[in-house]
Amino acid sequence: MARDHRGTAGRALTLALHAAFLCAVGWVALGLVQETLARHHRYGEASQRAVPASAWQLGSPQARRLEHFLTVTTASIPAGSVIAFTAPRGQQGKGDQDFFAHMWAAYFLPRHHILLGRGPGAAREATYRIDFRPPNATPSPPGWQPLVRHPLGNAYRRQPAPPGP
Amino acid sequence: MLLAALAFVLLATALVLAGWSLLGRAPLHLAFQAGAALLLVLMTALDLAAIPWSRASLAWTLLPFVVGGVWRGWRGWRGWRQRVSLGGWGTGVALLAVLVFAFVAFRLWSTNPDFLYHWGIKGERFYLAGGLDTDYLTRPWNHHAHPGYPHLLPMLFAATAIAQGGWYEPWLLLWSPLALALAILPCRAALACAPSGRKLLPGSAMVLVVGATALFSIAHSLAGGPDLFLTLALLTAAPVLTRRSPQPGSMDGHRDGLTVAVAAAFAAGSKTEGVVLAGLLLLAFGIRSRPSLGSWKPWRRWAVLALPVVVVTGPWLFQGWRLGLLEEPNRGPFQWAHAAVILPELGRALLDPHWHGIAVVAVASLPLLLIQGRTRWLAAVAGTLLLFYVGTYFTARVGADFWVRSSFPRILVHGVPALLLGWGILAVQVLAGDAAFPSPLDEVEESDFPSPLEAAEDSAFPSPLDSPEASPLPSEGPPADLPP
Repeated sequence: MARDHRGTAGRALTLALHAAFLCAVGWVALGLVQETLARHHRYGEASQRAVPASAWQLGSPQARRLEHFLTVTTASIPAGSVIAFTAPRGQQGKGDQDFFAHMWAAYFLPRHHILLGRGPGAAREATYRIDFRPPNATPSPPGWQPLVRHPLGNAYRRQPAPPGP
Repeated sequence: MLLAALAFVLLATALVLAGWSLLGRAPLHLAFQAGAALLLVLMTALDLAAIPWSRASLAWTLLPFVVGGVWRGWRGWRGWRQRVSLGGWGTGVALLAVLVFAFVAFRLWSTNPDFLYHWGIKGERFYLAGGLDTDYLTRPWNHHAHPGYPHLLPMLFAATAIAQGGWYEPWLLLWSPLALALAILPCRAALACAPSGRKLLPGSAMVLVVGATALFSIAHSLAGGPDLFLTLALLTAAPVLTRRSPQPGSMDGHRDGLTVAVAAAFAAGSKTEGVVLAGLLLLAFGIRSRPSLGSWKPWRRWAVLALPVVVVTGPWLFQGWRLGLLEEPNRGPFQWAHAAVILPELGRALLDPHWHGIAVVAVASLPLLLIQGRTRWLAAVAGTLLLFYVGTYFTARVGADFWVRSSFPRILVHGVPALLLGWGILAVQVLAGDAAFPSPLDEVEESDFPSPLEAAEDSAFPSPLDSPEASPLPSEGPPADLPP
């Protein structure tokens, strides 16, 4: 049993240390409760309203909607295909939201190669194209033929190059 | 659901047993890290041998190590059951905090965005490909998925999915809370020097370290990322770095060396920053052993301890170099001019509301921890690691401010828990009386917190004194059970 031989000052220091650490523990406990409730609230709230793709949560309705859309539109696309994914850039947030939507698409389509529709490789490499939430009445992009039409967007296949002369 | 839970538990157990096969009856946190590093090496070897990852191939590869772990752990298991102790209120409350984090992670409320953007997708690609999917890694548009990062976490995800027979995110996210739960054990070992009968302060320190980490992990969404692996690695080395150096060549010295070597290998396999942490840990351990640096053999032993890091990082670095994956497009020369944007962002990161003020207090205490002999090396490693991160921001080609803002609050979690632990150790030191502060190796037997040799509920490497199979070690050179 260690004894405190340092007198009043030592005992005061010991007391202060105990008080400081207990206060810190109380602070952490309060923070833990607050953050847990906040995460729950934020997760639920984000599920109920439109949020940009960068703020989507795994398992939230927005993410599940995209996953369902991709499942339907890629059903006939062979595994390993290179797909250009496009989404409105600034419709739901900052200008790069199509980038985050394309990352979600890449996560949901691990059997395919997903690249950003506006990226440098898309025009050259992609053999399929998926437009998520395109503006209404958008015609098929030139060089692509419709594959699947869905209320949330469309899938296209690259038109074969015309035979040379 | 039940089968997925069973597969997760089986895999975690297999990793611990595999760790025991390498280390003997090591503490759970150390055995887990050794097992995870071994899994990385084995899966890499299978991939190099063009053997697809499957339940059968993984099971057969792990089986010898699991059997070896059961064999080597059996004697220790009986001993551990006699000494089992729940360890007081501090451990219990810390565990409760981790359980809250695990619950939040399992409900997907706190998923790390990088789980979606690279760690998770790489794991799923590896799972579907039955190996390292170089076709995915080398596609130029996948550079944002950081194909050059170490693969321990994606491989762990792939192994979990293979064991479970599907890709179930909630279970994959549980590896992060598990790492934090295991971090309780080295914290207990480091705080084991409290005088008997004084439970409040070490218990509070334990709750502060683990609770603050759990709090930040929930608030900043760390589930599914590798950051808590680095936290675990540094905390694992904390008991070694914060106690008096044992005699060179002694059993305690070998245990310390193994502890640092395993933590370093685990860190190096987890994340690029972990390679830096691994180097710092080995360097700090080597310098601390300076009383025996007069001869060549201690250096040789130190080089042997660096071998696990080499084994873990070697294939990854070679593959990354061969495939050109190691280039980071946003890295350039060091530019002091970035200070104008980086420094304010660093201040804001330290005051990130997700930290609730804890990070800034911990970092501000660095000088105090550095001048105290007990905490000097722990603070030096944590501080140098954070300083390295800061230095890296100065090499940004574009968007240095965004880089700091998006990453520094998160990677503070690699070092802040260790600094908080340093606080706890200092406080316990004051409680015990400065000069009379006992070495953990001489700890009083009736202490509520076990000594590091008994700490973490099962902290018992086979000792020559209690294991008739183990022979006394020579005074120099690696121990008999040192991994090759």
